[in-house]
Formats: sequence, structure tokens, C-alpha cells
Amino acid sequence: MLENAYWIALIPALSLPINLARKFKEPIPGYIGSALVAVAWLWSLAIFFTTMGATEAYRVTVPWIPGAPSIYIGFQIDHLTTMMLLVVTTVSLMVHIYSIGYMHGDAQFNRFYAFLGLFSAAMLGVVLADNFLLLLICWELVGLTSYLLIGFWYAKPSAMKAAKKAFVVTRFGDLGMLIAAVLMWREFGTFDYDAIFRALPEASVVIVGAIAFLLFAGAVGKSAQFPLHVWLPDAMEGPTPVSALIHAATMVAAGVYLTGRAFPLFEYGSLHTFQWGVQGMLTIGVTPLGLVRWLGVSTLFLCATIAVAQNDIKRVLAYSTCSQLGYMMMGIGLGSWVAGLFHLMTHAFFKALLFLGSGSVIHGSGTQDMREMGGLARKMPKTYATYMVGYLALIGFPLFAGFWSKDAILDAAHLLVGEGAWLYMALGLAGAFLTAFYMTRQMWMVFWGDSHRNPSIHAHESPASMWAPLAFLAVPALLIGFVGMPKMNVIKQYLTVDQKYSAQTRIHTNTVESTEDVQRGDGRPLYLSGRALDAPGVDPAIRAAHGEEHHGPAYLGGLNPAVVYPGTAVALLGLLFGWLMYRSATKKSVEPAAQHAAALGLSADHPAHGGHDAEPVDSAGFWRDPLTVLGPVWKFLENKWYWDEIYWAVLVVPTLTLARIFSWIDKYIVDNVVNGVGLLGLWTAKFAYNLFDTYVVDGVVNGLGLLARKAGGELRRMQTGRVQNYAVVIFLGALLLMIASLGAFRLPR
Amino acid sequence: MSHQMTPYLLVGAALFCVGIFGVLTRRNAIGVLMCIELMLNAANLNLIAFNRFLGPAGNTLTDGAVPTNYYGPLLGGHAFGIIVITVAAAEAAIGLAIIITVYKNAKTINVDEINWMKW
Repeated sequence: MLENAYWIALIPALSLPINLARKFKEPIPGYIGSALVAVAWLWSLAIFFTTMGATEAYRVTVPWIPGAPSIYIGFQIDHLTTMMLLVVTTVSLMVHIYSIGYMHGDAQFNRFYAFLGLFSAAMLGVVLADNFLLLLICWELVGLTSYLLIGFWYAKPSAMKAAKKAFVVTRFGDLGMLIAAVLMWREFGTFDYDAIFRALPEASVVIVGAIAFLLFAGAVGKSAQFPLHVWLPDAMEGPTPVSALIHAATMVAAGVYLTGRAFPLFEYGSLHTFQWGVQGMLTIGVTPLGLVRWLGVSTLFLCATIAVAQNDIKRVLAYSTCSQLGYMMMGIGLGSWVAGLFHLMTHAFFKALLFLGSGSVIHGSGTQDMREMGGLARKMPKTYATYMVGYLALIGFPLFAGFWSKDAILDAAHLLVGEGAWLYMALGLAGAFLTAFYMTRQMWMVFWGDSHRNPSIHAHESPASMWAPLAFLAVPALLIGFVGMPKMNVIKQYLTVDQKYSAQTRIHTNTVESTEDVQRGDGRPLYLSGRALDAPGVDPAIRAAHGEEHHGPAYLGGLNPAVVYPGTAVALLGLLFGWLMYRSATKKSVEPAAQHAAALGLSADHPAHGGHDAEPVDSAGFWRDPLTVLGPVWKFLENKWYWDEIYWAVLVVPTLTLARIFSWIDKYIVDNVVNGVGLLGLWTAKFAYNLFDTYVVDGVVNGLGLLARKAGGELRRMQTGRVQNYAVVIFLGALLLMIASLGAFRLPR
Repeated sequence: MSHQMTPYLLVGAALFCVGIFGVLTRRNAIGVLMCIELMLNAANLNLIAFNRFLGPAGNTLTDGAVPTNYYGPLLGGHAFGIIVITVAAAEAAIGLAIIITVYKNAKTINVDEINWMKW
């Protein structure tokens, strides 16, 4: 079962040819896709249960492109991979089942499942790969399928623009990854994780740091970190199951997975602080891990603030995803890759739950704008119940999944020492506050609150194919966090234990002599031995990662009180603020509808008042958020800190201008040169024909003939017919011979 | 001075030149033949003179003594001369036969007028 584990990635890919070769009738592609992913899911479960206690990893590698050195292709099964396999296959299966109901009626149902299957295969490839090159290949494939799925409704121009934006922005990151791959080849001569990690002690810290920075560039693109975060909210143009699978749970997680997998590179590269800036004047010192956590915390805060001001239910969740990914990156950057990946796992489950739930809400209420919803808790009970679970998990309500993983990250922030270390904790707490705030706001606007403001919406519960996955996902959203309870810290032990390759591993490389000691994890690793972690220039996160952990008392389950009390308090505070502010804002007011409408100058059947709702409305007839009193601040947040506009002005406009300039050059200069060269050839040919060929060449040829004739005509006069004339010639010749024999015609010495 | 070869060669050369002149300029074909005979006889004179003065038996440089390693003819030049006379006679016969045939066709033996092979 382990030997053929690469089929876990290939089986969902079969959905592509099967569903595209023949267009089956409606639910059948759904069944086919779901069945294929279910096979992958069951296989992943089987692998998980059989390798649960194992302390060795399993790996198969075969040569692919021969050379010196060769390029290999292979897969590995270790605990990190197994965890990712479970996450990806579970969420993918839920999305497949859910889409049977959600995409019902779509004319291209089969195409959807084809792409969904391809995506699942690519993501599983990313997770199963055992070398960076294969990872990169599957990474690009994941980006491609994301483009295909965002732009699924290709007739919609906004969807195609969003798909293009996603692809182009992530391309920036992928460029960095490509350069990293080249550097990796130059430095190590291989792409193998194992070989590279083992070669780290002899590698150059600067090159490894550069590789880490560049790999992180790819992660920044894929995981929508600032400054490449702009594509994720636009990606909500795709169908909601796509948002759930790709842009919440799996693809964006690929960046975090890469950073976690390549963590030894980051750690080793952080032994040296890189100076950026002008030498001698303004320089700033940064290490790879430092950049990871700095971008993580920036994204965390930035996106949380933007999420507060969004009115589209999916956009709130999209920015929330960005923000939570920032948490994960921050966790890794603080030295605790376990915390980051733990949060990845919990987030995948509850974010997928929330997205699918939002899809159910959209399906049932017919709108995506939260300002038109309200009171859906009674109309869609099953959706509401599961959404509640996801909501509580996301805000970090005690004992739900998000609580444990967020606490792990904040714990890592707490351990950091150095200048500005308090900022990470402070912003992490601020992010938790904002998360609780905007999610509570969403809950009030969508589920609680008195009733929907648009009376033409007749909300209904979704079919079983849609709420059943929600119920299924609610279970891990509730319970999975307990594996991270610090007292026993199951997840940490699970992820850090497998250090060796098992005896069944088949590695067909010709450079591996033994299968000992994959160095990774929190033990004192080989590549850091002999180097003082306290030396100047070494990233403080490394010290934090290898230092003592402060575990708290037993009654708290091992949680550190200095971290969990502020963290929980801040989340509950956010909940409270949101509760108070939006409870009254979404309540029906007692003002008569008609009076209110008249005051605004609206007609009686305007949806703003509709007869039974009379909340404060703005000039467009939409419900006005109480936070709009903040005026320009609100506008700033609602417009996403104007980053899209900045990028447009700074990057897109110059590029388009340059393109226009080159187009002009091409049309008027290059084309004319090419045409000119053509004309030159034509003129030369004409000249050659008219002048040269006619006069010169023909002249020579004809002239030779003429010469022969004329010469013949004159020379024949020698034939007089008279014998005596011939005798004269003979005599003269004999005379010449006689003179020559006397030596008159000899050449001078 | 002893007996020299030079006057004999000179006479031969003079006769030869007269013969050449005649071959090239005479109009009468028989005259041309006669001058050819003259040339042949001049060559004969040369041959006799060479044998008398430079030959092995009458060699003026060795006082007429034959070298001991010489086993060739003693009168080679004279014998060659007789052969030349024979050949000249045969050739004159053939030449006259040609002239008679040409006369039968052209009714003239003026060589200037026999130019049918002209261009």
C-alpha cells in the first residue's frame, strides 16, 4: 500500500480525461469525481492509521532525466505528508460532494469536476513530492488549475480578469522559486529534500539564505501574503466550492507547507543577517525567518482590518483567510513551524466549513451581499448550526479548534526576544480581536438580526448534498484542536518524530549510501551543531525555537497563562464589541416604514423599507453599517487600503504604456525595416536582372562566342592551299628550334 | 694549318640555303623538286665531311688512329650518304608521279595556282 502511494495523487487526475472525453448527464460527473477522491481519501486514512506510530519515513525515488547529476522523481510518506494528505483529501472530498448540489443546473458540470479532480491531483502531488523540482512542477499545475477554476464561468469578464490577476500575481512569486531552484542546483547539485538537508552543514549560509528568500517569494504569491495578497479577494469570482477548496484550505496552504517543509533552509539561512539597502547609509538587517514573520504579521493585521469593512460574505472570508495565513507564516517565522502547520490543519477544516456554509447561504438566499441578509438562522438551521461551529473555531473560542492552534502561535510570539519582539504578540492579539469582531459582525448581519432586509428573498435550506459535508466538517472544526493541547502535544510529537528512512525505502539514486538521519525538527539538528545560537547576526527565532518551552499548569491543559489569558480575553472582547455594536444596528426600528421612506424621498415599494424593515439606510437604499461614522477610515478599509489602485498606477499602467510604446515601435519601425529589407532584395534582383544579367553576363557569354568566330575567321586565312606557304612555316619553325637549341630562349639564371 | 673541315661544311650550308630558297620561291613544281634534291645533297656533303674529319679512322684529333674501344662502322657517314641518295631517288620518283597526277587535274604545274585546299 505504501509502495504505490503515488497513485493517491494520480487517481483524482483521472477525473480530467473521464469527464472531458464524454459529457455525462448531470450528477454522474459528480459521482465519478467524488468516488475518485474518496478512494484517495480512504487510502490516506489507511496510510495515516498504519504509520501513526512509525518513527521512520518511507520514500521511493527513481531516476528520471539521466545526466551527471541526474534528476529524480519520487514521493515520500512521512508524518508531515500524511497530515497534509488527510487535510487535502478530506476537504477535497467534502467539496466534491457539496458541488453536486451547488453546481446543479450548470451547463458545464462535467468540466467543473474535471478541473476539480486535476486540482486535487496537483495539490496531492505538491504534498507527496520528495524533491523541490517535482514540487515546483506540481506547484505550477496547482496555479494553472486555480486559474481554470476561478475563470470557470469564462463568459463573465470579471471572472476572467480575476483569473488573470491570480495567475500573474502568483507568477511573480513563482519566478523567485525558479531562481531558487537554479541556486539550489548550483549549490547542492540535487533537488532532494533529504540530500539538501544533509548537505546543509557544509553549505554557504548566504546562498542558503538566498534560496530561502526566493522560495518564500513563491510562498508569498501562492499564500496571498502582503504584498502579493491582491489576487485572493478577486478570486471569489469563482464558484464557492472552488473558493472553499483552493482559496481557503489547500492551494493557499501550499505556500505554508513549502515554508514548513523547507524550514531547515530557512533556519540555516537565518544564521546570518542579510543587510539590505545602501551600504554605509541606510541598511536594514533581515533574515529569512525574519522576513517570514514580518510579512506574516503585516498580512495578518492588514487583512483583518480590511475584512471589517467588507459587505460581500465571501470577501470577508477571503480576507479572513489572508489574515489567518499571515498567522501561519508568523508562526513559522517565529521558529515554531509546528505551530504554523498545526494552524494550517485546523484552519483548513473550519475555513472550508465556513466557505461551504457561505455557499449554502448564497444558494438559499440568492444574494452575496450581507446587507441584504438577516435572520437566516431560523430559515436555514442546519447551515446556521454548522456555521456557528466554524465561527467559534475561527475566532478562537476556548476549546474549539482555532483556539489551540492560535494559542500555539501566540506562544511562539511570546518566546521571541529582541528588539521589537513585543510587536508580534501585540499585533497577533490585535488580529485576534479584529477576527472576533468582524466575524461577529458577519453573524449578526447574516444569521442573527431580525430578518432579511430584502423582502423578495425567500430563503430556504439547502439540499442534503450541501449540508451533509458541512456537518462532516464541523466535527474536526470542533475536535481536531485537541491534538495540539500543550500538555501532551500530540501534534508536535507526531510531526517531529520521524527522523530516519525505513528499511523498505527504495532510493535509486547513486549518491545515497545510507538511509540514516533525515535531520529536521526540534531536536538539535546536525546543521546547527557547532554553531553558537547566541552569536550576533543569528535570528532570535532560532534561539526561541531551540530554547525551553514554558508549559503551564495542568488545569489549563499545559497552556501558558501568560499567553492564553490575553489571547482568549482579546477574542472575547472582540466578540463583545461586535455583539453590542451590531445587535442594535441590525434590529428593526420602531419608525414607521412609510414615514421613513418619505423622509428619504423613496417610493413606498422600495426594497429599503419593504414594509417590515426600517433600519437606517444610506442614500442608495442599503443598510448603513454603524462603523461608517469613521468616515474616511471606513472608506480606506472598504477600498482595501487602496492597494489595488496603487498597483494599478505603479505597475500596470507603466507596463501597459511600455507595451503601447513597443507596439508602436513594432508597427512603424520594425515593420518598415523588414519591408525595407524586402524592397532592397527586390531592387537588387531587378538590378541584377536588368543591368547585370542582361548586359554583363550575357555580354561575356556572347562575346566569347563572337571572339571564337572572329578568331576563326581570321586564322583560317593561314590555310592558303599553297604548299610553299606551308613550307615557309615549317622552315621558320625549324629555324626557331635551331636557335633555341643554341640556348637563346633559356631563362636567365 | 692542317686540312680543315670548315670549308666543306660551308659549301654544304651554301648549297642548302640555295636549295631552301628555291623550294620556297620557284613557281615550277619540278623546279621545287630539283631544289629539294639540292638540299638532300647538301646534307650528304655534311655527312661525308663529318665522317672524314671526325670519324674514328680519319679523326684529326687523334691523328687517324682508331680508339681501342670502338667497335662500330668506320665509314658510317659514307654509308649513310649512299642511303640518302637512294631515298632521294625514290622520293623524286614519287614526287614526279604526284606532279603528273596534279597536271592531269589542274592542267598546270605552277604551284601558285594549285590552291584548292585554301580556306
